[in-house]
Amino acid sequence: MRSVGPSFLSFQMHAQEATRQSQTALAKAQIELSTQRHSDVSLQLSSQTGRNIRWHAELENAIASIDSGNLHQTRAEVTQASLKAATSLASDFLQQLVGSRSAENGRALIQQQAKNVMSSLQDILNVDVNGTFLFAGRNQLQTPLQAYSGGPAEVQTQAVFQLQFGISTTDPLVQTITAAQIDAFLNGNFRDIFESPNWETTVSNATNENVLARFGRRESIDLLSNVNEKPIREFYQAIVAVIELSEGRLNDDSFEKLVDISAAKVSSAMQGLVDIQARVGMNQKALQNATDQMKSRKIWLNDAISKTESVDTYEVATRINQLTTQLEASYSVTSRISRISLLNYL
Amino acid sequence: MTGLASALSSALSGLLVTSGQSAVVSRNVTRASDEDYSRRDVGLTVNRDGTAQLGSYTRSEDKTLLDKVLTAKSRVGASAIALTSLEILSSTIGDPQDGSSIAATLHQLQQSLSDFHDNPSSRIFATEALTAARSIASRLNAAAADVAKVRSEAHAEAKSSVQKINALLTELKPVDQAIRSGVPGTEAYLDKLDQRDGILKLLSVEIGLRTVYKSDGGTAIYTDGGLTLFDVVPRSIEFNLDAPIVSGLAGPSLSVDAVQLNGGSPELAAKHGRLAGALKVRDGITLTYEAQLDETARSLINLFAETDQSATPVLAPKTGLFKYAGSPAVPAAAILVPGLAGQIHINPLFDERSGGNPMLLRDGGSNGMAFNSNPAGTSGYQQRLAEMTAAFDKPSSYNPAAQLGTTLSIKQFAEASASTVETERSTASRLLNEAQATSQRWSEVLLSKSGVNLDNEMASLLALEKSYQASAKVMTTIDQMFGILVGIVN
Repeated sequence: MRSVGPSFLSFQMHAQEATRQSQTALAKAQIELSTQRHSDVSLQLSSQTGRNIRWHAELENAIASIDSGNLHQTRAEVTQASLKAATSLASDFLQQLVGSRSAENGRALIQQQAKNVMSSLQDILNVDVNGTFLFAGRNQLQTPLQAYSGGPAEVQTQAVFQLQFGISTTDPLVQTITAAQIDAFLNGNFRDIFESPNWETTVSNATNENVLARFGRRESIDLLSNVNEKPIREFYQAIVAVIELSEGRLNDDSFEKLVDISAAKVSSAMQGLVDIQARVGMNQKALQNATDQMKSRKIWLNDAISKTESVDTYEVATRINQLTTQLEASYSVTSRISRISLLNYL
Repeated sequence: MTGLASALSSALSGLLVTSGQSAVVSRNVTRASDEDYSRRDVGLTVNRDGTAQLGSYTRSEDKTLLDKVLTAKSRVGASAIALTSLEILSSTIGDPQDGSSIAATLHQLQQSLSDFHDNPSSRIFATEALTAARSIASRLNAAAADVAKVRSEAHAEAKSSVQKINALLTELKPVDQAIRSGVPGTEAYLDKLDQRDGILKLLSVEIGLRTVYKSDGGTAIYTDGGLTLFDVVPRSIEFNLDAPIVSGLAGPSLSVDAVQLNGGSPELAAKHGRLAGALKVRDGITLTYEAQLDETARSLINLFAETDQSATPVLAPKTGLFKYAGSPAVPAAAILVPGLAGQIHINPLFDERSGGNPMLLRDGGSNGMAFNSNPAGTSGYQQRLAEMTAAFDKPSSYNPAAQLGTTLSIKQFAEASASTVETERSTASRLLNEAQATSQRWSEVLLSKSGVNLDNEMASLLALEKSYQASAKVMTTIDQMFGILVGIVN
C-alpha cells in the first residue's frame, strides 16, 4: 500500500512553522503599535540607514543651533542696548558741552559732567554676558576699558601735555596757550594717544576682531562691536580732553576751541555709533533669517524622519487583527485535524 | 488428505506473512515522528505450492528531493551564521533615533566644537567638546572589540564545523561500507540507508554538498565547490586550529587533500553551509567593517593633528586630541592601520580628569609651543576651532580596502559604513527567510513522499487484521474438517 497524502510529520512541521511565523509577526506588530515605529528601523532602512543617522544628527543640531541662535541674539541685543546707551550718553554730553559756553560756572560744571560721562561710558562698555565681555573683541575674559582715573591713559595724557607745552595741566601758565596751539595739540600728540598702538596699551584690552558666531555651520556672523572702533575712541578722547583741560585755566578763546573740537568729535562719534548699530542690526537680521531657516529645516527633518521610520498605525492595527484571526484559525485547525484520526473510529 | 494439508500450510504461511506485515506497520507507526526514517513496505512472494512468504523490504525514498533538501539546509546554515554576526555588528550602529552610532557621535562632536567655537573662552564648552570626543573614542573601541569578538566567534564556529564534518565523514565510512556490501531488500540494509541520509542531512547543514550515488550502492560526496569529501574513504579537512586571528588579515585557511577550501581559487571555495558562512564572516564582512572602523579612527586622528605653527614650519605634524599606539607620529592618509580603532584614545594632556587642559583644543600646542596656534593666549581665539569644525565636512582620502569610496568627508564615510552594514544585514535576513522557506517546503515534500501517514498505516492494519482473521478462519475450518474425518475413521 502506498503512502498518499501528507505524512504525519510533514503535517506537524507545517502547522508548527505556520504558528511560529504568525506569532513572530504578531510580536513585531505589537512593538510597532506601541512605538509607532518599525520594529527594526535599521533593517527597514537598510542602505538608507546612514542617511537617517544624518537626519537625526541634523535635527539635534538644528535644535541646538536654534538655542545657540537665541544666545547669540541675546548678546547682539545687549550690544545694541549698550550702543544705544552710549549714543544717548554722547548726545547728552554734546548738549552739556554746548551749554557750558554760556553757563556761569560752565567750565567747572562741564569737567564734573565729563567725569560722570566717563564712568558711565566705562560701565556701559564693560558689560558682560555670562562672564564674557561683549566689547572686548577676542579678549573676552578681560574688561575692555581700563579705568581712566589713575590709569595709564591719564598718566599718558598729562605726560604728552607736559611734553608739548613744558608745563602741567594745572599750571597757571596754561592760560597763555592759544587756541591755535590747543587745536594743534588736540589734533596732534593728544589724538595719537587714542590711536593704535597707544590705545591698546593705555585704554583698551580689546582686540580689533570680534568673537564670531558660527551659526548652523554657515559663514560666521559678527554680531558684536568692540571698544577699538573709531566712534568709541573719538567719544573717549573728547571726554578726556574736557576732563583734563576744562579746569578754568584756559583762556576763553582756547576753551571755545576745546569745546568746538570736542563737540565735533562727540557728534562724529554719535554718527559712528549709529552706523555700528545699523551694522549689528543687519547681522542680527541675518542670524534671524538663519534661525528661521533652521526652524523650517527642523520641520522638514521631523517630517522626513517620520515618513521613513514610522508605521501607519491604522495599517498595523489591521495587521494585528488579521494575524490574531489567522493564529486562532491555525490553532483550531491544528487541534481539529489532529483529532481526526482513523484511530478514533476503530 | 494432501489437499487439506496443503491448505493448512498455505493458511499458516498467510498468518506468518500477516504478522510480518504487521511488524512493518508497527515499526512505521513507532518511528512516525523520526525525520530520518523513511516509510517501509514489505513485498509478498507466492511460492509454487501456493503458500506465501515475506518478500524484500522497500523504502519510500526520492533522491532528487533529498538533494533539494540538502541544498536548502546548507543555504540556511550559511545565512543563519551571517545574519547572527551582522546582528552583532548592527548593534554597534543601533537605532538611528538613539544617536549611538559612530556617525551620529561624529555629528555630536562637530556640533560641540561649533558651540565651543562660538564660546571660545568657556571651559564648560571645552569640556563638553572633550566629552563628545571621549565618547567617540570609546564607541570606536567598543565597536572594534565587537568586531574582533564576532571574528573570533566565527573562527570558533568554523573550527567546530570542521570537527563535526570530519566526525560525520568518519561515521559515514562504516555505513557506506555496509551499504556497498549489504544485501538490498533486507531490513538491515534499509536501516543503513536511513543512517546514510541522516548523516547527509547533518553534513549539508555544515557545508554545501554534491552527492553521487554509485552503482554499487556507495555514495561519493563533494563540496559545492567540487572538492572530494568522501569516496569510499573520508578525506579530512585540514585546519590549523590554533592559528591566531589577526586584525586586518584573513584567518588561517582550510584544505582538503592539500587543495585550499577557502582563500584559494574562488571556484573551489565552499559556497554554502555553516562552515562557508563562518569563513565568509571571518574573512569577509568583519574584515571590511574592521577596515572601515580603522579608517574612521585614522581620519579622526588626522583631523585633530597639530602642525608646526612657525613662520617656516620644520617639524612634522603630531597627533593632538586623539592618540594611538604610533603617537606622536601622524598616520599617513589612506593607509590602513589594522587595529587602530581599538587603540584610539583621548590625549591625557587634554583631559581634565587626568589633570589636562581642555583649552588645548582651542589653541593646539599639546606637542610644545611650536604647535601652539594661539601663543598670545587670546581668550576668544577661534581660528583653529573654525578649521576643525569645517574639516568634518571636507573630503579626505580613504583606503579602498574599506570599500566605501576613496574621497569623502569623515561624516559621509561613517554614514556610508553604517549603511553598508545595515544593507548586508537586510540582505542576509532576506536570504535566511528565503532559505528557511525553501528548506521547509522541500522537507515537507520529502516527508510526504517518504514519511509515515498514520491513517494509511491504520488502514493497512485493518486490512491485515481481516486477512489474519480469514487465515485463522481457514485454519479452524480445516481443523473441523480434520475432526470430522477423524470421527468417521473412529
